[in-house]
Amino acid sequence: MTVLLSVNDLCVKYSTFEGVVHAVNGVSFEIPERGTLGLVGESGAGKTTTALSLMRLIPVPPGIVERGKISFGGRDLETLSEDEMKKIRGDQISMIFQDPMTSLNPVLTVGLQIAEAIAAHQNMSEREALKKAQEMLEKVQIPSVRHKEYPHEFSGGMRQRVGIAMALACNPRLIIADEPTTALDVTIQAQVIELMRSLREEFSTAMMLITHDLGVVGEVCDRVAVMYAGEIVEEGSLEQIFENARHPYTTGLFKCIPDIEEDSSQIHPIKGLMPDPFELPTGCCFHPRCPESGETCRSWKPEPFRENGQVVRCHLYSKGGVGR
Amino acid sequence: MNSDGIRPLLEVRDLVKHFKVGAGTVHAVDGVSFSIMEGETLGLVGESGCGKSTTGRVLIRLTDATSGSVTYQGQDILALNKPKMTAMRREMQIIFQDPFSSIDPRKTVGDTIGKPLYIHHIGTKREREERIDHLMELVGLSSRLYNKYPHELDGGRRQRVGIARALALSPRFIVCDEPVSALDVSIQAQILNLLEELQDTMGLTYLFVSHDLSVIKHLSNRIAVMYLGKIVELSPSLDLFKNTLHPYAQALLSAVPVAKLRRTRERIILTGGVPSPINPPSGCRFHTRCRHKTPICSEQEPRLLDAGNNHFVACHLAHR
Repeated sequence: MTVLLSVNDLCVKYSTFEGVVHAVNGVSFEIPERGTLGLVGESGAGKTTTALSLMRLIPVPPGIVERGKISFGGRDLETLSEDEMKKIRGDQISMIFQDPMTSLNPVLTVGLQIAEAIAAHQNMSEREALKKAQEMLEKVQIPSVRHKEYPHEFSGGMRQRVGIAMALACNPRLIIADEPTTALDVTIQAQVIELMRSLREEFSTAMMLITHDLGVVGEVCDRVAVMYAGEIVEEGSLEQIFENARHPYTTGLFKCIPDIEEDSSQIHPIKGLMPDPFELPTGCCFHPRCPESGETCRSWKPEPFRENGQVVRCHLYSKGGVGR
Repeated sequence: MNSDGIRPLLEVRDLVKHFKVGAGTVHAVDGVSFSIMEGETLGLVGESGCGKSTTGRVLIRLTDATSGSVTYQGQDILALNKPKMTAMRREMQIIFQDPFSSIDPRKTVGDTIGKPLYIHHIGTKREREERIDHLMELVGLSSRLYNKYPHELDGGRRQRVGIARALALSPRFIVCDEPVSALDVSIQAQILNLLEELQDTMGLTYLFVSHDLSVIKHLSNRIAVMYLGKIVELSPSLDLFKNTLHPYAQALLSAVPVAKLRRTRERIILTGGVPSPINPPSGCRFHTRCRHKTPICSEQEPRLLDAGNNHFVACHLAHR
């Protein structure tokens, strides 16, 4: 498989009055053509910051992209001018946002909004773009006659379909979906997931899905990266993460979810709280909450340990599993 | 816990709550009946707008019902006058969904937790302070947070403040209105375990309102599934999952994404969205989206009937 996107040692921080927030600290991953990577983590883990960095949409200031190499389709994104980047954004990489109520323009009909994205990137007249927009609406199972309606006339699920239509309109090579179903009810979420799956096949698009919901990851992704405090602590195939998770944070996350398929389920919370992003712990970021932590964990950052394509950053595994 | 032989703490009969709005009347809750046994957790599950939160609020009269009755230990709560209702509130409390908006940002943690004691003139100032300390310990809040303000706390701790406040008057019945929905999973698990512990040690009875089926199943003894203001299925928790009878409940259960590689259930994808509660469909409210519908479904409203083993369902097909 050809690599479509590769991110290497990405570091992003935000400089605020209270201090420096270390949002993303040395994140590296790859997405192959047509691949689907799930980026999982809790609030403040750095998922959205990672996504925005890929699009070069981090607001500067307060954001500072300290270092990191992002290469997309063989081009280094940081070397591109703003104009060149504009050509990639929305055309080759597009984004689906969490809240379809706030990500659509309330005073523009949905047809015109989709057409706007098309006209910006493809050499088309406004009329042609609007016609293409109507086709896209049909693709996401919205009758094309509704192109004249405004976002408030659609339900939450329908609005998210409009967002998907817009993201797919230019046939992008990569879609970044940031919590695309979090604001939706379960039965509507099921519809949207089904739709995203079939359209991904049809358009052969790669996808990065950002979510806090491991269930949704299981439905959509073939690889999973687990983020904690700005780092990817574990990455692997869906099978590896779901059946053979290694990092104590990953296994802890699974133990926090009540099992709907078991008669009686026990949940075991991860003790403590997410670390303060102004003052990250020394050593392994997870050590204050980790049931397995020892002296080494407090002092040294674990190096990535790789086996069969599964990468884990934990002293229990590093250097061939020497342990703590 | 088995509810057999335990008397109901609360009985709800034909509860109706309509809201008048510009475009007509919203049928938020449209004739629901159920009882809650002493010491049990009744889960109320459904999607946005099905009336589950409104039901919870009407039960403790945070909103007045349009009609129906709520009997708590032989007294119809809906008929109580104001002073009597105020006294009754010592028995019944609520924990809200959003720990950010349900706590006064200008009050300290201690003041917030102690407010119900103050309102009900319980104890001297000193006794109240002791009680607040005890409550904070009970919900796992460090006493050094006594003088902190809500913005200084994270979501999980804020929800603990809300729980301590609800416990202040030693109620017997608590409506938990999506108490963990705004929290991250690792924190959610902490709060769920806390709620269970408190129920065990204090003998509390919960009405647990949530859209999250895994959470509902984990906590509840019995579960009621709501759709457009009606209860469509009401059953002991395990039975609902093993033997789901109502087509809506089947679709709802099958739609839950499971964090496992091999899912055991077939997925049922519903078409369309929920119809407007201003003008709900005739007959069975689910008939517009039901894949098993027959002519009678649009004509006659199905009643919630026992299909055996205390498993109630409101569907024409289930009672043939």
